[in-house]
Amino acid sequence: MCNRAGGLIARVLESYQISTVSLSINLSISQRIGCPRTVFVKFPHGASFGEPGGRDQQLTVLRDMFWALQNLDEPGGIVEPGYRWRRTTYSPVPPESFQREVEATAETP
Amino acid sequence: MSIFEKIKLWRGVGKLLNTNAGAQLYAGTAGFWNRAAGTAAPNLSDEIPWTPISKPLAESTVALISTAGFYRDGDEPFDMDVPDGDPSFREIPMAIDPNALKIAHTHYPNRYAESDPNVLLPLDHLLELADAGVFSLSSRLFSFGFGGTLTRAYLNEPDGTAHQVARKLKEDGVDLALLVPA
Repeated sequence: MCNRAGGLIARVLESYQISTVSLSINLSISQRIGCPRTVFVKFPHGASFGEPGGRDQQLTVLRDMFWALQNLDEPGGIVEPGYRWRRTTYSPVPPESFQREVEATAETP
Repeated sequence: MSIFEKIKLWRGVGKLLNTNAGAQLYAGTAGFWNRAAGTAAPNLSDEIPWTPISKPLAESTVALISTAGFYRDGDEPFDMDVPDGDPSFREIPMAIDPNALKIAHTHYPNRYAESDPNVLLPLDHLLELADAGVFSLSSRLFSFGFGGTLTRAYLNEPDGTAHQVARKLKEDGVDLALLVPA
């Protein structure tokens, strides 16, 4: 919920020279709103970064947001890592991996 | 019963359930209902504002913006009784004790975040990364509630709430903003 409001806010922030990335759990709304940069995950409403206590999962999604910030170079760009709710295995995410040029990937059994 | 009345009924059922299925049902009918009411999300995708990254991540200041209805215990909750949504925002310190966070948002299941706020507000992770020198972190985050069908209340210049928050982020020297829905 409220992918819509987040997208609208992101657009305004960009006009103030603030670069944004929006996490989305509803891709069609994010596209319609014209989010500047989007990371789309098919997770349930209320669990945008993943499961409670799922540190590696949460950090992976967070890292993907920074990957999008540093690598998407066209307005409206979307990253769709394809994680599956409770079925994807996540590796520990070291702080160094937040820098540019790190691929947005996870191990899927 | 007209199709629009049926949609309204099912959306009401979805809200009442306040479960993931309910939220999905509510979200799934949002487009139909918004179109019926003439309040569909504007199609803005033709002209997307864009600020390219201007400096390395380690030299950037990051801020978190949530639309999940978080507020600080003691602050005024978001108003969930306004059908069109509540466009206001709350300021929350990044270093807040998670036990002092409350949620005023009935359109998604709150149970995940009540169990671990990091599923919607990754405060622990962002603070750790800032400590590790990955980036600098703004000292406050901005929290919005249920936005419903509101558009102008966010976008109008100069006092739309998105503009108010943008000016505060500039005061904080923020370069990068993470927007997180629920």
